[in-house]
Amino acid sequence: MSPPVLSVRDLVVEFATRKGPLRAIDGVSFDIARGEVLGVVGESGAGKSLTGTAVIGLVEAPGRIAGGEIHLAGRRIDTLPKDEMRRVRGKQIGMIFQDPLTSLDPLMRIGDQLIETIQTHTAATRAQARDRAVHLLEEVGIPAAAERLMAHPHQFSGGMRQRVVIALALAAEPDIVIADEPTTALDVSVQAQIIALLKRLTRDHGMAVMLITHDMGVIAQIADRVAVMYAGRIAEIGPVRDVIGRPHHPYTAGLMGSIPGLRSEHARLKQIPGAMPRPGAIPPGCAFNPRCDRVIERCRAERPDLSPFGHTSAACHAPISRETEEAGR
Amino acid sequence: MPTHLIRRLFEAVLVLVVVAVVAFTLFRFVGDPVNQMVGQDVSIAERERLRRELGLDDALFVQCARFIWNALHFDFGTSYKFRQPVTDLIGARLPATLELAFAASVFAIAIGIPLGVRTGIHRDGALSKTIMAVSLIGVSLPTFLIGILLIYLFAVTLHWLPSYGRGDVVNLGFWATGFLTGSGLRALILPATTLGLFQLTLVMRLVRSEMLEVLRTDYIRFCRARGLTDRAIHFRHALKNTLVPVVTIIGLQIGSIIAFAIITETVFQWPGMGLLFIQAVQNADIPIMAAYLMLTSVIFVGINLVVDLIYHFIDPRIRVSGRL
Amino acid sequence: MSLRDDREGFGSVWNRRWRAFADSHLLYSFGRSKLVMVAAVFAVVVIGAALAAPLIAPTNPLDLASLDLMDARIPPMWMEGGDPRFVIGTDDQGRDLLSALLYGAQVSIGVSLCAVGLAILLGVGLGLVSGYFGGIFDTLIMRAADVQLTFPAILTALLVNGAARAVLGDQRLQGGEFWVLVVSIGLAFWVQYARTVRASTLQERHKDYVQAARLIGVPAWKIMFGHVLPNVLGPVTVIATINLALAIITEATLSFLGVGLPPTHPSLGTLVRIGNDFLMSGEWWIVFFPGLVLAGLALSVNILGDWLRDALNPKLR
Repeated sequence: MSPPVLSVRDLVVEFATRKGPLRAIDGVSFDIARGEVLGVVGESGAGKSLTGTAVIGLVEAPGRIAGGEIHLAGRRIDTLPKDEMRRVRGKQIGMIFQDPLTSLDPLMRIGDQLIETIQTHTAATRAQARDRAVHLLEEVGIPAAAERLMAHPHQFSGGMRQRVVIALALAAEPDIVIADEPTTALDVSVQAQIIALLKRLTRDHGMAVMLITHDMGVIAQIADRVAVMYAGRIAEIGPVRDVIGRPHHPYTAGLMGSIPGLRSEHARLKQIPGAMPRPGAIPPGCAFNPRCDRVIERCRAERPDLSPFGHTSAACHAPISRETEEAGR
Repeated sequence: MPTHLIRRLFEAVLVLVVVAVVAFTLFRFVGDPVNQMVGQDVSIAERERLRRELGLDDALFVQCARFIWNALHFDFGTSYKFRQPVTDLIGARLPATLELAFAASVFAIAIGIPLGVRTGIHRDGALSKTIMAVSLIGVSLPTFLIGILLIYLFAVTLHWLPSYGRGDVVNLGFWATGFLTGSGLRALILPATTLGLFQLTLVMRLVRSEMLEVLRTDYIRFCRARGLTDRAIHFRHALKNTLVPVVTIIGLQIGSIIAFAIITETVFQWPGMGLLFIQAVQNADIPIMAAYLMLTSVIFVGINLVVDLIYHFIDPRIRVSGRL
Repeated sequence: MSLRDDREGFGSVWNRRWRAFADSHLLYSFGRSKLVMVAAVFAVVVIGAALAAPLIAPTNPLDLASLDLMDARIPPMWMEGGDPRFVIGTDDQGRDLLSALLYGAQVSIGVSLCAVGLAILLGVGLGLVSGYFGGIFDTLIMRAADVQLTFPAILTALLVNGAARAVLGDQRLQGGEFWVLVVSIGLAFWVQYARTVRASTLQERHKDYVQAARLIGVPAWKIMFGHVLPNVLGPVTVIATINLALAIITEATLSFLGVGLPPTHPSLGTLVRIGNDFLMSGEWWIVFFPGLVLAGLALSVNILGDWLRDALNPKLR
C-alpha cells in the first residue's frame, strides 16, 4: 500500500488562558490515503474544525500545536518555518470553509482572486493563469466562465460562490483538500450538487479529502472512512459502512441512533443524555463516561486507547460487540 | 446608482437649507441688526428708515428667502465690528485656512495610515504597543496645549521656527499662498503639525481597529489557507477592505480639521477664517458667524458627497444595492 | 440568550446587570492593568482635591481684594526668586497659582459633569422617544441628529456660545458663563446617546415580552424605563466616560479661546490662556501647571473610558 498522503500522530492543540493551558485536541491520530475521503464527524466543539485548522497550520494565538506530528506526503509539516508552510498551503493542501458568503474578498473580482492564487503557486504568466482560471471555473460547473471572471462575489448565489471557493482551493492542484462543513450554509438542493461536485473532483484528480461535518448523511454519501470525534479525541475510526452499520463505541452508536433513517426503521430516535464536556472540564478516564450507559469502573480511571475491533478502531473499555448487542435485543 | 446619488444630493441640499434657516434665525433674531449697525445717538426715525431699507419689515419668509438668495450670491451682509462686507473679510482669510487644513490633512493621512496598518498587523509587538500608548496621549491632549508645547520647544527655546503668522505670502490675485516662499513653508510646519496630530492619531487608531477586524474575517483566513503571501493579504486584501470606513472618517475629519483650525489659528495667530470666527463669537458679530456657519456647512456637505462618490469606486456592492 | 431575557421580570433585569458586572472582565482587568489603576488614582486625587478646594487651597483666588500686584509672576518656590507662600508661583495678578489651580479644576470638572449630564438626559430621552414611538418623532429627531453630526462638536459649542452671548449681552452674561458653557457643550454631545439608545430601543421593542407588556396595557414609559433603559446602560456609561474627557477638553478649549470662563473666575483653560501670554517671556509655570493637570485629567479619564469600553463590551471597539 502506498504511504498515506496525510498522517497525523498524537496531535495536541492547546489554548493559553488565564487559568493555564486548555487542551482542545488531545492526542488525535489518523491517516488519509491518496484519493481517499475521510469524514470527520462530531458535535460542535468536538475539535473537528480545529484539527483541520491545525493540519493546514492556521491555528491562531492563543492556540498552538502543543504536541504530535503532522506528515504530508512523507514530509513533516508542523515544524516547517512560516514561509515554507505558506508555500505548502494552497499548493499541497487546499481548504474550503463553511460559509461561501464570507469566504471571498468582497472587493476583488473573482477572476483576480483566482489568478492571484494561481500565480502565487506557479510560474504561470497572467495570460496562462487566466486560462487556467477559466478552466477551473468550468470544471466546478460555472456557466459562461470566461465572462464570470469579471464578476464580483456578490453577483453570485450562495451555491455558485461555494463553487468559486472550491475552484480557488483547487487552483494549484493540491494533494488533499480540507473541507470544513462545505455544505452546511447551503440550501438542501444545492448541498446535493456540491457533494456531487466534490465526489467527481476526487475521482477525476485522485485528490484526498478531509471532510469535516456534523451531517452523517453527507458522510454516508461521499466518504470512504469516517472518524468520530468527541471532546477533542477520536472515539472511533474506520470504514464508513462498518462505523455506521456496526458501531463499537457507545458514543458512535448514540450518534447513529439520533439520526433518523440511517439504522433500522423500527428503532426509536434516541437522544444521548447530557452534553459534551467543554475543554477543561473533561472527566478523567474516558471523556464520554458521564453520559455512557455502558460505563464500567475502568472507564472512570483509565483513558482508553484506540484498539481494533473488526474493521474499525474504537477507544472504549466496554465496546459494543455483536454478541452483546444481539443479547440486548 | 443614479437614483442613489440623486437622493444623496437632495439630502445635501436639505441640510444646507436647514443650516441656512438656522443662520438666518441667528442673523435676524439674535441681537438687533439695526442697533448693531448704528450708534446710540441715531434718532428713532432714522432707525425706522434703515429698518425699511434693510427690509426688516417684510414678511419673515421673504426675509429668509432674500437672505438665502443673497448668500447664494456671496452676499452675507456687513460685519458689525469691522464695518466691512463679510464676503471680503472671509475671502481674504479663506486661503490661509484652506492651506493650513490641506497641509494638516496630508500630514495626518500620510503618517496615520501606515502606522495604523503596522500596529494592526503586529498588534502585540512592543513598537505597536508604544505607538498605541503615545497615540492615547495624542487624543487626550487638547489641541491648544500641543500648540503651546510646540511653540515653547521650537520657537521659544530652540528658535528654529516662527511662533506666529503665515510668513511671506505670494499674491496670485485672488489667492495669497504661503506655499511658494521659504518663510511661508516654515511658518506652516508648527500649525499644520498641531492641527494634524489629533487627526493622525484618530486615523491611525481607526485603520488599526479596522485592520484587526478585517484580519479576523473568513475571506482573510481563506486567503491564508490558499498560501497567499503576507504582503498580498495585508495590502491587497485587508487594507482595501478597511478603506470604506476609513474614507468616511477621513472625510468627516477634514470637516473637523477646518473646525479645529479655529483653535490652531488662535494659538499661532494664523490669519485665517477660524481666527476671524472666534473674534466674531467674542464680539457677538452675527453676520460673520452666520456666514462662517454656511460656508463651513457647504464644505462639510461637499466633502460628504465626495466621500459617497469615492465609495462607488471602492466597493462594488454599493453600486448595486445603493448602500451597504 | 434573547429567549431567556424575554421571560425575566422587571426587577431581575437590574439584578442580572449587576451580576454580569461582578462576574465580568471588569474587575479582573481593572486589577491587572497598572495603567488603568494609575489613571484611576490620578483622576480620584484631582477630582477629590478640586471638590475640596475651599478647604485645602492656601488662599481664595476668587477674592480679588486679597490680591497684591506686587506678588505678580513669582516663580515656584524652589526656583530663584520663589516665595514659600506660593508653592508653584503666582500669575500676572499676583494670584497663588496652586489655589487658582484647585478652584479652576473644580470649575472645569463641574462644567464637564453638568454638560455630560445634560447630554445624557437629552440624548437618552430623545433616543427612547425616537426608537419607541417611531414615525414622525423618529424622523425629526434623527434628521436633526444627522444635520448636527455634520458639524464637529466644538463648532456647535462655539455657535451656541456665540448665540447666547448675543442674546444675553455682556452684562447679563456675567456670572452665567458657567451655565452657558454647560448648555453649549451639552447640546454638542447628545447625538451619540440618542443614536445608541434608539438602536437598542428598536431592538427591544420587537421582542415578545415588550409586545406582551403592551398587550396587557403596561404604560409605554414603564416598558422603556424597566426594560429598554437597563439594556443601554452599559453603552451609555462607556460613551459618558469618553465624553467626559471630551467635555473637559472642550470646556478648556472654549475658555482658552476666550469664550468660556473669564479670568476673574478661571477654569483650567482660562489659566492656560492667561499663562500663554507670558510664555514668550519665560514665565513657563503659569501655563505649565494648569496644562499638566488638564492633560493628566483628560488622559486618565480617557484611559478609564477605554478600559470600561473593552471590559464591558468588546464589540463597541
